[in-house]
Amino acid sequence: MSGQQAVLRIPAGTSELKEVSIQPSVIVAGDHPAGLLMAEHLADLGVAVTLMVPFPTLEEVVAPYRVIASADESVAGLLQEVAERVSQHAGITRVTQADLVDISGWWGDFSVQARIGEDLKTFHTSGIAMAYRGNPVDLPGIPVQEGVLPFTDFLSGINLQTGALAGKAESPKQVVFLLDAGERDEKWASVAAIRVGVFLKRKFGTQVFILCRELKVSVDEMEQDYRAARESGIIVFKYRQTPRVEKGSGGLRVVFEDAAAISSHGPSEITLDALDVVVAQERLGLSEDRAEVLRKLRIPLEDGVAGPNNPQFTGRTPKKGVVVAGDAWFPEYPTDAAMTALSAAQELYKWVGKGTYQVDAYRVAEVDPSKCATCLTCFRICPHDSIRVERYGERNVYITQGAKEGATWEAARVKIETCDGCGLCASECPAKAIQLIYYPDMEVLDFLAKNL
Amino acid sequence: MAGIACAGELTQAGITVTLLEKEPVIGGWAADYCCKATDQCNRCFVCVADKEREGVRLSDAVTLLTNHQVREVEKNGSGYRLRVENKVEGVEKEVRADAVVLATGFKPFDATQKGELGYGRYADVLTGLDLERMLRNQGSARKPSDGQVPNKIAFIQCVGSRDESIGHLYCSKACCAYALRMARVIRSQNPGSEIFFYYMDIQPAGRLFDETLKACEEDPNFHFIRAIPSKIYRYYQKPGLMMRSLEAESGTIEEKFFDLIVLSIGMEPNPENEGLWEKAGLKPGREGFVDPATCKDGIFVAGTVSGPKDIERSIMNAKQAALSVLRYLEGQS
Repeated sequence: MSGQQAVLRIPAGTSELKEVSIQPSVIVAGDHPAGLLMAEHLADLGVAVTLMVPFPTLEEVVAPYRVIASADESVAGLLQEVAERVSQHAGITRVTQADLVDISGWWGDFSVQARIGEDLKTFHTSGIAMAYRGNPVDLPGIPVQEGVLPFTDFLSGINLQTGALAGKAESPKQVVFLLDAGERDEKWASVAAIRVGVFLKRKFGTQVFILCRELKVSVDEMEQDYRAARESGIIVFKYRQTPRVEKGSGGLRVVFEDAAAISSHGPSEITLDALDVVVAQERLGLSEDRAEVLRKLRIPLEDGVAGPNNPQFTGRTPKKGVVVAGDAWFPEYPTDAAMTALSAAQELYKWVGKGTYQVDAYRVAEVDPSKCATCLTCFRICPHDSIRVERYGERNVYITQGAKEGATWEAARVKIETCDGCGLCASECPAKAIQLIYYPDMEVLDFLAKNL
Repeated sequence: MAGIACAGELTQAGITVTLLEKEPVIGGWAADYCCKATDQCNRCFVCVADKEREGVRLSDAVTLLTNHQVREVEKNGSGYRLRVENKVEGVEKEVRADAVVLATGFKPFDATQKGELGYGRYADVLTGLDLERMLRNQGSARKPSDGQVPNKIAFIQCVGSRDESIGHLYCSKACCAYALRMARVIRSQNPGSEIFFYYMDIQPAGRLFDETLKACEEDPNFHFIRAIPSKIYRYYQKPGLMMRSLEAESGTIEEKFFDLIVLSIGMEPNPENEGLWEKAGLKPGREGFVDPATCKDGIFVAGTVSGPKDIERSIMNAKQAALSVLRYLEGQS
């Protein structure tokens, strides 16, 4: 596309719908099983899917969730054979040991750089889905010491046959799940603790204690599983302040104040002593490399989650054509994460699936190049990354990037496919060079006169 | 509402949709909910539901059949034949489709079943749904008995949820969030008001819920009390309602007067689902809602029909259903 003398006239006062052609192709990158589900659904719909996973096999994407799948049938149903199905799917190009390192370009025409082993390779695609697993950032309020494990390390380290943890020979006699010390809007750990707790108790006879601030049951069938957990002998405590975890006699000791006790009956401090393992709910976040990719795309990160929080735009980010899922969107229990990821896949399919896309031409910003002072204000503030500075020939004649001949001055240009019509650039432009195109009043009156 | 969101998604993919609605208006329960913004948006997403509804109402690709009740669903070749009854004219007709999305929603819990809470007996005991309607239609919370602005308000959570005595051993998932947000609306409209929030466990709902919860906790006139009130009654000739509860904090039985009491009612499976959808092979899950795992052969579920959901998750579920429908239709052709 670059380097040629392609000249495109910008129609003045455009108000009709414009159709843009889009190649139905998508790159799904990441190590969260939600990515496998998205890839499978989109490929079934005829989208050319390139799946990038950082591991040698797809099985490793699902492996850390195997213990939850053993404890919960609905997760098992979701993840049982997905790795196998995806690895045999004819519509999916699989790239293993690959990590996405850079994204540039626009929706419909992304250029994606991936590190495959030692090499860098460039891919072209119309849309991108990033389904990342979260990494433990820290254990809020709990000092790091031997025997204290982050929850995700516990899940991926446990041996399903013996119940032993990584580096140990036998299954632990007791496990304490310490929840809610940090983020309170995440409920994945509470759900996993109850269900995995029942599994450990039944299979290995492990004594399980669950310590939480609030018991989170707002996941399908969770209240019944909580009942089953209590009936199988799992002890649940609600604490007031984050419990103290310290070295005790013959293991770890956890001390806390029971919030459910009636305080007029005296002090309600409870001590659990001689513990093998304390599994603590950690704060999850993206690794620095991945966060950097998102930051470059101007996707805001807050507590490790990306994009705006609006169900209209599930998983959608301010960068059009890029969706996020898995822990990169919000750390969720696998069944919930699947729902979120598939609704994000639907967003992606809506954009790239049909091969064409209709642009609301009357809701886009337009720069008048003759007024533009190239101050880059619009370029900096555009939340959709839709503005670039291009060389122009005569007024209203745009010459594609790279063309040197005939270029007389530089000015900003809005990419209409990605423009959301939010109007931020128009309101901030110091030269008043940007206008949102709307139907003028006369057109509205004409329409009313014809139709009423 | 999930059905509408799903229809909107499908029309954007070029699918023709027939929307069957038994009520005279579309929108489900979400059409009665209020915006829960204070001085800022509190992310209740009611406006999104309103917007989805308008989009479908104005769309050419959607045939709207209001006042139409589905009587029978029958597999017909590769597609489905639905017998629907026009409830106004009393005539039956047939609707054909390649795939069917079931979005018949939930039934709000009938709070009169909890007789000790006095709903239906005392005018100033409202359900969460009543308060939603009041805030949507009147703009502010008033006491139904005398039209005065209430100053001392209690919210009782888990009415009809997490309660084995009525066979509802599940959490309704939306109530903590909607009650906290409506309480914040009342607090912002009437700075002199005091909120008492009786709960079991606060259930987080979606991303950034922490912000709402923190704002409530930092408010000095907002009291969180972990207790289940046992009785609401009128005390001789005194104004207001007396509420009795055993509070863990003090270990004593407390009795307090309130101007207004809001019962945060949960969701029940829609009784109309039984029988009708069993023929199509759908079965109830452990909680009594339709089990999404039993959906097959071009039948899909969206929204609260498969279990309680808030607006955000209903819309996500509807989008997921739309993707499944498109995938199914692609596989058929």
